[in-house]
Formats: sequence, structure tokens, C-alpha cells
Amino acid sequence: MATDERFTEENLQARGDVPFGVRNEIITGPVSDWATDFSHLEPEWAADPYRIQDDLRQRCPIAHTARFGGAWLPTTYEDVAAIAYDTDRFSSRSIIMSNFRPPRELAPIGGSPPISSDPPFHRDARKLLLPAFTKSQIAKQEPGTRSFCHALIDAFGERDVVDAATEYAQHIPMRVIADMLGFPPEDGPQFREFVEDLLEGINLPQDERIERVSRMWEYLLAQVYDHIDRPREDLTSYLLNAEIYGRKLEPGHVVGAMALLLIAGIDTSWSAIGASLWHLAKTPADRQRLLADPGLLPTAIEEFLRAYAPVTMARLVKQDMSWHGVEMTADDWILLSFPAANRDPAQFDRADEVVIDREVNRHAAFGLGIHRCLGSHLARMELRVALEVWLERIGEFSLADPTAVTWAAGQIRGPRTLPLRIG
Amino acid sequence: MGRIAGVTAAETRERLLRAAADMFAERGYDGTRVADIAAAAGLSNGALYAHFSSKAELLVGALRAHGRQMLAELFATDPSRSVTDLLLAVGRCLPRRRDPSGYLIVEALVAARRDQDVARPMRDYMGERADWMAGLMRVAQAGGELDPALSPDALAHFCLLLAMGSALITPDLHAVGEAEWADLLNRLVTAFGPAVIPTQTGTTQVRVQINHERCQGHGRCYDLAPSLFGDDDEGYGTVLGDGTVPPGLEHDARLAELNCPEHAVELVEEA
Repeated sequence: MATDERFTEENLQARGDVPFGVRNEIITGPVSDWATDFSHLEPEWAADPYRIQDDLRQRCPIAHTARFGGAWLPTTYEDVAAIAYDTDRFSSRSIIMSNFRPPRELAPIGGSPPISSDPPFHRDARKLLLPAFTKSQIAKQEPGTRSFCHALIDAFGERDVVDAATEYAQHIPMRVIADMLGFPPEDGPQFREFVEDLLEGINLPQDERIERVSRMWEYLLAQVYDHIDRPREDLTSYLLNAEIYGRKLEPGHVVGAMALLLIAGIDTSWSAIGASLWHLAKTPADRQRLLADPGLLPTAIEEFLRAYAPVTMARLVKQDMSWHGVEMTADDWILLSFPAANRDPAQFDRADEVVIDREVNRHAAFGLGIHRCLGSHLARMELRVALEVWLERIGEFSLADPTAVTWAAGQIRGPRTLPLRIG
Repeated sequence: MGRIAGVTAAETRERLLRAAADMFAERGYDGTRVADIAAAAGLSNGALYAHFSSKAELLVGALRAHGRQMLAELFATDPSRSVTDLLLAVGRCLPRRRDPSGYLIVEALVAARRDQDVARPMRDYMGERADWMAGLMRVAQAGGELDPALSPDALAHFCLLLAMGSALITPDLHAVGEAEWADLLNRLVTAFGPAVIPTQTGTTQVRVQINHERCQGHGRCYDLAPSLFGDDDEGYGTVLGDGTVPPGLEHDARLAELNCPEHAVELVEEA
């Protein structure tokens, strides 16, 4: 049996001397005023964050909350862009806002490089992964993705109501990323649990949260061992062999990057596909137009990405400072809402409308600056193929029960239940 | 008097608005009494109030029904006509004298300054006109007649200012030569048009370039203009060849520039 010194139990345990982070009191419950007490985990936000953000943009425009140990929410495109570009004053060492701040010593690497990394390490960690995610590399996944989408629709059988979130959108990115990482495709249901644990279980008691996160860690370690035994042509073997500064990656870097690819690759595209189908189900004119003119789809997709951008990131303030009129304190969170930036009327004409033939669309759905979503070409491919196959096979569809649609709370927003009447 | 037998409510309403338009245009808002309008329409005051609750409502109603709306009328006559052509046609008429109801807008604007009852419906009226106009601008942008980078709302506002201003500055107060005015309008429409990219046939050439400090590999340039841009092994954008934009690809080049989230794609003109 092959071994890798980095991943022996002894060596993994020897890494345990990382300084502790900071935990704060968990505050939940109804929001009193969104300008001073916002929370992206409350049901009102999940149901419609846009109305809240539009209101804040007019009256703040940077909201604050004492929850999560203190956080800011900028709502204009200008502020969101400025923070995304300012890696000197805003750290990425944790990009999921929770009640736990990892220790400052974790920077510039962070728990899941490169998304959690700051310069200069970020650049080198990102460089390792970029070649696997170029448009031409991703194109190789397209035929498999397409036939998988067809198989999902075949499985609908004769039913006239299906859940497009759990029976379609969800499975597409799961299958593609499992394939790229070399994980068993049948592990999909576990991936969904990992996603929920990490991104939606923010306000769970810390012990439970730690236990849930370690479940994923155990799973990923098992995949590492499997790949040490049987190296393959996939991203896991690639990460195990990759070098940075002339040395193999630290075990935490390998597993952290795997976690990043798994989590960031699933929830996001699933949300984008689901939100696009939701829009088309409730907007017959747009659906008819795309059926009549499939060439418009790439333009429409950019508009879905703008209007329903699934991803909000987080940053941590590096030092006390006055910033654009507010007094920020070191280790305050920033909830970096690309969806809010994408609906800023100062940046976009008819910002609150979905205009599927919007030709000029400088949206920030994939972020701005050095942390541009690594998987943006993958996401665009998945979204395009998922919608192409759906429109080709289903064509006519509508919301079976608008009140039954549910949306994920937290930093990744998309439909989690989406019953559609088809045909 | 009262109701005239055989006349529908809509007809009565229309007669009132016609009378109101004539009366307001002739005597102004303050100089017109509701009773005069009723009389001119052949109705009693009471009958008038069955249709309109106030003088302000009559004024804005008259404006909607009889105010000048050349653009909307021309557009309705021939919706396929190019939008810039329509705008030019209307623009050329602006400095000319109008018929009396063309000045109804002046009375309404003046009244709106003084009287909240008029100001409220006037805000709605102006908002509707601006929205309609902005919609027209979007049609022009989608059709490649106007630069999609310009705000349709700002364009609409600009046109409204011209239209309203021309109602205030009548030819009696100040005149402009028709040909000179038409030349100026032509230049304006050209300036609002999509950036015209001169090609090799002219004296200047346009090239695309990428600011590599800014590029983050979003790939919008090589998605939208694959004949002009490619990508490197890490997905960052590259310029194909020397970046010269051949004829027919100006629009692609412009799209790449306007859709780059990092503002990394630049178009440069060279002599």
C-alpha cells in the first residue's frame, strides 16, 4: 500500500498546534432594523434579500449588525468593488461569515486556499488550479454534462410535476465536480449535507458545527488515502503531487483546496441553474423568446447571473479604520454581497428588472479582482448546458405551486425546492 | 342644460377636455374659471364636476388629450421607422411656432410650480412621458442606433428638456436658422450613436488591447469576440495577432470592452 508521509496519522496530529480563533455569542431571531441588525440567515432575507438591499442602498448605504461578533454590509456596486480590490485592508482568511473568526496567524494561507488566501501566497496557490479551469479544459466536460442532464430528465418519467431543484439543478454540478475530483459519483447525497453543514449551519452551536465540518474533513481524507493508493488523472491526485515553492503542498492545503472545489462547485451552480429555471417558469414571455431564439441564451444567462447572482463572499477587516463614512474595527466581518452590487441602479440601467437581451452587462456575479471565481468557466458551461437541455426537452413549464418554492438562507442563494409543472 | 340626450359620458368628457384645452391655452390656468369651461362645453357646473373633480384634473387631462405629442404620433404612424430618424424629424420642428394647444404644456408647468394640486398629476404625467421616451431609447439602443452605454433615462431626460424648452422659447422671443439647427441635431445624433470605429479604410485604425494588470480571466472578451481574443494556459485573456479590428468586428470589439468586469479590455485608436 502506497504511503504519503504528510498524511500519516502522526503527522496530521502534529499539525494541531494552530492558535485558537475567536468565538462570539450566537444571536438569532427576528431582525429589528436591517440597517443596524441585519442577518442573512433570517427567513425574510432568504425569501427576498433584494428588497432589503435596495432599501439599505438608499438609506445607509453600509449596514451594520452586532450579530456574528460585528459585521458590515455594503450595498452599492462601488463599495463592493472597492472592498474586493482592497486586499491590503480586507483579508480573505475566512470567507464564510460565522460566529467564529479563525486566528490571524492563518493568513495569508487560510483554511481553503486560494479562496481563503491573501497576497502574496494567494497568487501561487491560485496558479496551481487555474490551468484545470480554463474554458478549453472545461469544454472537455461538456458532452458528459449534456448526457447527464438528459439522463436526469429521462428519470422524470411520465410525471407532470417535478422538483427542478432536487431532481435536476442540484445533481448537475455535483456530478461534474465529483468527476473532476475523482470522487465516487454515488456520494452526491453526502455532498449536499456537506454544503448545508458548511454554508447554512452558521448559527448552530459551535460543537455541533465543528462536528459537522469534521465529517467532511474525514470524508476528504478518505478520498486522499484512496488516491494515494490508486493515483488517477484527476484533481485530487493532481493536488497530492502539486508543488509550491519547490515543496509538496501541506496536507491542510490539499484537503482545504479539495473542500473548496467540492463546496464552491456545487451549491453555486445548483443555485444559478435553479434560479434561472424559476425565472423562466414564472416569466412565459422570456421562456417563449428563448425557445424561439436559442442564440439569445448566452446573453440571457449573463442576465440571470446578474439578477440572481448566487454568491455572497465575506472578508475580515484588517485594522481599525474609517472607511467610506463608517468606523470599522479590526476583525469586523464584511458581508460582500455581489448580488447587491449587481442590482445597484447607479451601475445598471433597470437594475431591478430581468432584461434577457441586456447586451452590456458588467456584472460581478463571479466577484471582482484577484479572487474572481476560479470555476466561472465551469459554472457558465453547466448553466448553459443545463438550460439548453431543459428548454429542448421540456420547453413548456410553470411553477406548480409558487408558495412551495423555498430558497437557501446564507451566503449562497438559490431555490432548494422548486416544484415545476412540465409539458 | 345638463346632459345632452344621446351623448355618452365619454363624449361629454371629450368635449370638456377640448374646451379646457382651448381655454387654458388662451387664458392660462389662473385666468380660466371652471364655469367658463363648463359653459364652453355647453354643460352646467354640476355636470362638469360629475366628470372632473378639480381644475387641476381638467388641466392635466387636457394636456394628456390635446397636448402636443408629435413623437408618439409619428411613432404610431410608422413604428418601423428608425428611432433616430423620428427624433430628428421632431427635433427639426421644435423651434417652429406651434398651434395654441402646443403651449398647453407651458401653462401646466407654470401652474405646477405654484399649485400642489397640479404638481402631483404633472409629476405622473412627466414620469410617464419620460418612461415612454426611455423605452424608445432602448429600442434605438437594441437596434444599434444609439450607444448602449448611454443611460436611456438620461437620453429621455435630455429630449424632454429640448421639447419643454422649445415650448418656452418661442420664435418670437428668439429664433434659430432651420438649416443650422438641423445640422446641429445631426451632429448630436451621431455623437449619441454607437462608437463608430474607423477601420483600415479610414485614416485611423482601432486596435483592442488588454491591460494585464487588471485582467482576472473572466473570459468575457474571448466569449464575446472570439475572433479578436484568446486565452492563455491559465485562462487570462490574450489579444490575437496585433489586435487590429477588421471591418465587421467593431461591434464585437465594443461588446468585449463594455462587458469586461475588470475594465481590462481597451480600444485604442491609432493614426
